[in-house]
This record gives sequence, C-alpha cells and structure tokens, in this order.
Amino acid sequence: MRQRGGQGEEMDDVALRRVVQRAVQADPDAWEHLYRRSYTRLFVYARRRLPTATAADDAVAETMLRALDRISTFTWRGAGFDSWLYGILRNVVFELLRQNMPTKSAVFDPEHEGDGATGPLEALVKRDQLAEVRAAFGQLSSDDQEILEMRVVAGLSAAGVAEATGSTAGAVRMAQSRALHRLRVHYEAVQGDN
Amino acid sequence: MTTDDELLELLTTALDPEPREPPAQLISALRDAATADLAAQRKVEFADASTVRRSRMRRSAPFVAVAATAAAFLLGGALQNQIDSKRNLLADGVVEFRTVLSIPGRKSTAAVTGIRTGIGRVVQLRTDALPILPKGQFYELWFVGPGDIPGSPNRISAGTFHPDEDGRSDVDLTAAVNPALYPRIGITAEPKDGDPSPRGPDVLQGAITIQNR
Repeated sequence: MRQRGGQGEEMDDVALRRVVQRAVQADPDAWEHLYRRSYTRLFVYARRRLPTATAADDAVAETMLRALDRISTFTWRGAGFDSWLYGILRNVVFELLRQNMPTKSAVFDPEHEGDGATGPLEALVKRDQLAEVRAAFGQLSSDDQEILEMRVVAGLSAAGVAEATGSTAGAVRMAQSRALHRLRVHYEAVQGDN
Repeated sequence: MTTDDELLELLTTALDPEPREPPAQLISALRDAATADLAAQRKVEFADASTVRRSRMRRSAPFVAVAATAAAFLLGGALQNQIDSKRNLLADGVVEFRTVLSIPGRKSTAAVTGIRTGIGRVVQLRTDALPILPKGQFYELWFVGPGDIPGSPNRISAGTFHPDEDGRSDVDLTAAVNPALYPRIGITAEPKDGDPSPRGPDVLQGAITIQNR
C-alpha cells in the first residue's frame, strides 16, 4: 500500500514502518521526517477548523509532541500510522475549540491562503468547476466535511477514518455516501446559480 | 450529470492542498523533544547497565567485588546515588505535559517536558535558543498562573540555570507545582540581586496542555 505524503511525496508501507520503528527509538531524524511528511495534510485539516494559521500550526505541533509521547502505544494492528495521527489531531483540535477559541467565520480555502499559487490542473474552465466544488463543500456540515476530507485529502481508508473518529468502517461508508449526496445537491445548486 | 467518481475526483483536486513546510522552529522543537526522550532512555539504560555490571562482579569474584564495592562507596557512591535517584524519578514518573516555548514573531523556541513524580514535577528544558547572559545574570523558569502581569506576578519558580559554553540549555528542574493551577511556563532573565521576584519580561513562554493519561 502506498500512502500520500506532504510535498507530493509518497512512501510505501515498508518504508513508513522503518521510519516509525526509528521514531519509537526517539530518533530525531525520524520524527522530523514524519513531521514533514504529514504536515501539509494535518495543517489543512486543522486550519479548516481553527481560526488562524498559527493556531493550526500549534495544533499540528502539539499533535506531533503527543505522538512522540505515545508512540510506544502505537501498533500496526489498527488502520495505520496516518489514522493514528489524525485521531490525535482530532482530539487536539477539539481541546483547542473547547478552550474558548473563537471558531472560524469562513471555510478555509487553501487556494486563497499563503502564496495563492495554483497548480497546472487548475486551469481556465476547470478552475471554475473546482471553485464550485469548493463552494459546495463549504456548505456541508463539519461532520460531512470531516469525513470527505479524511477520505479524499488524507487518503485514509474507511477503516482508517473509523479509527480516527471512533466509529466503524460500515458507519463511515454510510456517512460518506450521505455526505457525497449532500455535496452533489449543493454542487448542482451552485452550478445553477452561476 | 457528474458521476459519484467524477465528483470525488473533482473534490480531491479541489481540496488538494499546496505542499507546505512546517515552521523551522517547530521542527527544531520536535527534534529537541525527541532528543530529550533519547537522553532519558539512555540514562535509564546506563543506570541499569551499571547495576548489572555491579551484580556480575559480585558473582564472579567476591573479593574483587568487595574491593570494588568499597571503592565505589568511597569514590563513586554519591554519583551512583544521584544516577539511581534520577533513574527512579524518571522511570516512575509519568509525562504530564509537553510544550514548546516561544515568543510570537521570533524564531527562538524551547522544548519543555513535564514529568509528574512522587516528589513533584521534573521539568526537562532543552533549547539552544537562549543566549549566554552577561556575568551576574541567570535564567529562571516559572510556572505562571492566571492574572500574572508585570508588577503583580502570579508565578512559582521551578529553578534557575545557565546555558553551557556552547549556548545549550539542557536542564532538569524539580518543582512542587500543580500545572493545572499554573498552566503557563515562562522563562525570564534575572539579575543576581537577591530579590526572588521576577524582574524581567518573559524571554520565552508557552501554554501547558495537561495530557490525559
């Protein structure tokens, strides 16, 4: 199985297991590697839920520190390392939101944050289509957003999402199906408006 | 009409984020925390190996062991006691919190780990971000409570320290403070003037999140 990483990097399961094994032994290089590899996806997940980029950065940093602290409890019997990390991040984000942090007022759009650089896929006509999908996605509930984001951005399996969210794989598939249906409804409405 | 697969593909592309690099200071803090864990593991291993060596000596050559034990008692007893004491503290302790200290807008950071032990909290500080102070000054680490402001502090000292000659601060401090009541950590630069109250502003600070363990 190949897993998605930051910077377009992909790492196969065997390589990831080697890095995690070194991380268990508190190898700083292994931890830096895991941080860089996971950062983009974890940051985007946190940023979509927290009010500022700094808060999202803090959440990811806290996630990695907790992972360092708990790595001895991690096993490969579950849905994998990425699901485990997302589970930690999810708790960190909840804790930050509980600490009276104001919630964001608008859905985070990676295209409009940072340098705003666009990739080659987002050209001309497709740019409009993608903007419509983003707009439709922004109208989903946070639960629907979370499940779709974990599946399509994080690339987690249904079992992986289930592990991260404390659900079951069957329930995740059902929830994904419903979320996709609602996305379609919003998407077609947005297209109708334009 | 787009199919489900097409819609998912569109969504995947729409949400695909531009690659980002984590902030350098946070990478550095994570590396420091890993290094601190590694050092703690090695301390325990070293102390354990030392105990094994001593027991082997006793089994293989009793008279040598007697002499060695006597020598250890006379020459190295205090050091061994320190190692054993530290080993027991760290081995029996529970990591209660980790945090990264920083000052907004600056790149300086420090990794702090709090370990709850039977005698209080051992605070492990690892950083190379604190400059060596002029003679007559030292750094002080504080647990900071609510409402703490300059002139009306609400903080408890965990101890003082100096960076080593390479500018590295790698210190373990012990304090009987409940971090739930003092949920922030600050480091100040203090003059040696005999006044125990904090004098300078925090050169590094950060919030503590107690871990659920």
